[in-house]
Amino acid sequence: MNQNARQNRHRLLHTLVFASALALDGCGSQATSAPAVAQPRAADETSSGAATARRTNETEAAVVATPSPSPSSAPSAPVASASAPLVAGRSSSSSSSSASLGTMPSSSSGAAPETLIAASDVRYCEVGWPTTKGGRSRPTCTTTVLEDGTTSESCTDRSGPCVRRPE
Amino acid sequence: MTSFASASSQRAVRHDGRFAGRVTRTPLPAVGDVDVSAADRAEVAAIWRLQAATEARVATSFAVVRDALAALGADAGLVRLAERGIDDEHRHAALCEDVAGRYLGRVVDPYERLPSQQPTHPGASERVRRALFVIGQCCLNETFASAYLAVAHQGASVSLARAALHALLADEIDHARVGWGFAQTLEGSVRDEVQQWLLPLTVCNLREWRAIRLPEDDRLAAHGIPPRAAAQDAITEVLEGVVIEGFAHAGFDTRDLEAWARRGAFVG
Repeated sequence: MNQNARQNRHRLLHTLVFASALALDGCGSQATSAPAVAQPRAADETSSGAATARRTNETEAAVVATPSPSPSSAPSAPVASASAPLVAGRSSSSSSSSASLGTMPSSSSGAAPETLIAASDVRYCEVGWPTTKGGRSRPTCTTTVLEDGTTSESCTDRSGPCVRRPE
Repeated sequence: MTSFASASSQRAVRHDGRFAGRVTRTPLPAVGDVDVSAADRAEVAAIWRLQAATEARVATSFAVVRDALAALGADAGLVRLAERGIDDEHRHAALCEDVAGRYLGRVVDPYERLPSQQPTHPGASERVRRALFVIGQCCLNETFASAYLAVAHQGASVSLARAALHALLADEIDHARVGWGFAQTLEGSVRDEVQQWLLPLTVCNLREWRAIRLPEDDRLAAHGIPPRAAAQDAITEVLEGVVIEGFAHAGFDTRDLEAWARRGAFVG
């Protein structure tokens, strides 16, 4: 594994995921209607945007590597301890995935994406959010009217065709 | 130094934004005396200008995220960051145009506006759809973007490119945190439904990143444009080591994701 790639992966995991509690409002306001999402326990941060910006500034340097640092000298992000779930009473249904891939059994919940894409499962064939980096044009789509009067849309892009049919 | 971004892109930056109307916290350095052919210089500028267009389009994505978070009654900090994310992306567009202009030595024409693009998540309930908007754009798109920027930064040697990439990455951190912070607040039926969508959501968003066009070699890496293989390797690393780990950290069952990743993360 590329050393830089490993360091980036480590830094991003800590900065983006484990430190994500820094994005939350310390006051933890409650929803006024039946919440679709639960509010987290109040973290130890203030609610000021300036404070959030400071915390971001403190951690961003840890994500951008200095030239070829050794793992032992890699900067550690001064992040809040956020490794535990924020929502009380919820137990994780999976082990912490610090174990390498290949140790977890495959779930029997359904067909593989390869099969579902080939079967034009709409959930697997829709567009994702547009990327912000690199250059890419939108896929070229062709709409065909079928014998029964319904329409079928076929789109192609670099990743191959994925025929989409209306629900 | 005067900005080389187009006037319209500069005007889109809010005066009450993250840097009070400035595009970056500190001024970008000059491009300097870089050893690059005229053709490569033009290509670098073209790619940075195209990136301005893609950045601006994401401002629309963040408006959707902000609205979704607000409708869900999500944490006020997350809504605030998503709101700021809209302006962040306009700043990014102006920043990328500025970089392009510095390579060309002139103010660039405004980026060409790209058509909007947004998943619809057919079959999901309204609340779950909104949750998926947040997770898709922030946990996935912004995390993959962070991976891209990190590897681009590592390969860049021109001060201007390094400064620009650093500035972009600093914002993407907050953008991704909106998603990861939100994911950890999910409970009940919404969480259960989101669980069923994690794999197709990841497949569809990863597919977008697998399709990005980059040079096959590293001739533009010094200018912040990584070769395709390096970018894709970084995205693969982050898929396994950050995205799937992140979903597990948020309490989701990631076995399907792990199995799919082990088989090579097929996206079609």
